[in-house]
Amino acid sequence: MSAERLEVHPTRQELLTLKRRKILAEGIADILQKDLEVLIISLVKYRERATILRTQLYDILKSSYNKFIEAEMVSGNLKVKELALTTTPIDFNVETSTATGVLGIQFPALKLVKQEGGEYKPRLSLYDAPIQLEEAASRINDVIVAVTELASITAAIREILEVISLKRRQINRIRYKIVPQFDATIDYIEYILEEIEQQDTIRVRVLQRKRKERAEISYETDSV
Amino acid sequence: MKPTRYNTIMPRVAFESLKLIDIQVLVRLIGKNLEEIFSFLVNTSYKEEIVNTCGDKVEVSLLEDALFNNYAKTFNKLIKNSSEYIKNLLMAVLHKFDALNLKTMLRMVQAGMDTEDILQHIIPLGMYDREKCQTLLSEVNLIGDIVGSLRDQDFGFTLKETIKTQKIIGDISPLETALDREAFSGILKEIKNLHRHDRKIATNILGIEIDALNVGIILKYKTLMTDHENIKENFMPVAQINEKILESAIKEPDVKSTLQHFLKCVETKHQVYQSLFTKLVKESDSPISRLEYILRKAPLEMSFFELKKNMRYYNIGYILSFLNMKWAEIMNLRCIINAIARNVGKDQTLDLLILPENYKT
Repeated sequence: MSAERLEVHPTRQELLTLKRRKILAEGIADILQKDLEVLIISLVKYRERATILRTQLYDILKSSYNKFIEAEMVSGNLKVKELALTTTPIDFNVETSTATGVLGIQFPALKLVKQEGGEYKPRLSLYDAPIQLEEAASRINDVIVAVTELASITAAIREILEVISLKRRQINRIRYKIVPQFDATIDYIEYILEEIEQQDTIRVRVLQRKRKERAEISYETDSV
Repeated sequence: MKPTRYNTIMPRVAFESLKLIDIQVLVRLIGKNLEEIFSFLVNTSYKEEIVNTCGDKVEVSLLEDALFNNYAKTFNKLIKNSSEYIKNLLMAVLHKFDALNLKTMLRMVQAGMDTEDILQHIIPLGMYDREKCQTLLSEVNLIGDIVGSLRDQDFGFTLKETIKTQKIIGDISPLETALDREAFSGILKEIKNLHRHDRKIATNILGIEIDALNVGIILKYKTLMTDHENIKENFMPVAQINEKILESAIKEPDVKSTLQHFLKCVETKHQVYQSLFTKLVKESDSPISRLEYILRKAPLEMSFFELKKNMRYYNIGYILSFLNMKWAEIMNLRCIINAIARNVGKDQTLDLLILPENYKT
């Protein structure tokens, strides 16, 4: 598929401008490529961190769930349900802000804000709640921090992926659209300029020939 | 210890003891499915309650309910067949379940639950059964009103006094503590009315449960809470491990030293207490749930000890030990049923069963 030409005057000035623009476009594509590589490296790092966090999260959730099941086994399904329904919920909030990350990209940052009570009181009944239920609840409490961090990382990954796709689109546009357009236009201008040059040469030759003929005619007339 | 006081209850206890499920058979239930457990229970002393409660539905909550119904029926039979001398103690023990149901009711009312939901969580044991709770909840639906509607002798007085001195409005934990304290005080008070030898046995069997509860509270606080100041507010009345020992144990820096302190303090006390704390010290590095499990097993260990020690037929030990064994059986069945419902492995289930110390798989 041949690239479309730009609508320009086929002049030497335009040719020089186009060549300069082509070099500039290729330079931009190289810079974008380097940005892309940096973004991919950063994405890999974030992904590794997310994988580690997710594994830790699953492990804690699994052990917490195991403790919860143990609590059901020890105190019965109904008692656990009753204690779960009647316990005071943990008050926490998630603050959202932005943080500057790789290449100055603004990532959404989540921060867990826990309500700090003055006096620490047990959440569940000291006599009726099996310790497994307290353990399960405290593990879930710890896991919330990891969940927030994982959410931040996931948001950063999503942002990086968007920027990567944007950069890739920009590189592709330069490499496969703008540069071929420049090439086609340069080729066209060069072709036109060459044509003009050839025509000029022919014209010069014709003129020279005509001048020569005229000179010969005037010489003959003079000699007669 | 007059045999006349036991002449009707002892045959009943002996008869009910025969209905207890053999430990080996119980352990073999692990890993079976709920239908198999249902079929097994239908062929045991639980038949009537299983059929009446579950019908043809095999659900964990219904099975749990049936088990409690059976315990209630057995308990009521014992009360019916006991003399005044024993009846008072059994009624005091049954008050423990009244406290349990009242706590459930208060908690759920505080959480704004519907009456129907609350009744589902009431266990069919003691005076505050579903019918009584429904009547109570149909008339009032606020904590203060519920407390106000209770008779003074049925925890009413204690709860009203607790509400008067309550520091934080809406906090029902002082009420819960007051209920448990009242129930256990009642048991200890009734123990004092027993004959000398019976009193000693009952103090050992019922006292170890209360002491284990106090030790458990200290261990929970040591593990979960940073503020140790208000542990004392949560203590139950004491049996063999007195307030002085408990208060000095609070001051210990960690779980291990606390248990070592207890072991030192019970050196001159009952053999079962010594072996209990030796075991706890040995396992002090284990998770707190393991320590709680050892404490939970203590009343059963004491029951077996007292049964071996007091071979004479007419004593309160037989009755209280039977009740502990029956309760342990129900707890074990409930544990197995819940384990099956959640696909828990055999080893994990076995670890949570309340089995005799010398039990070998």
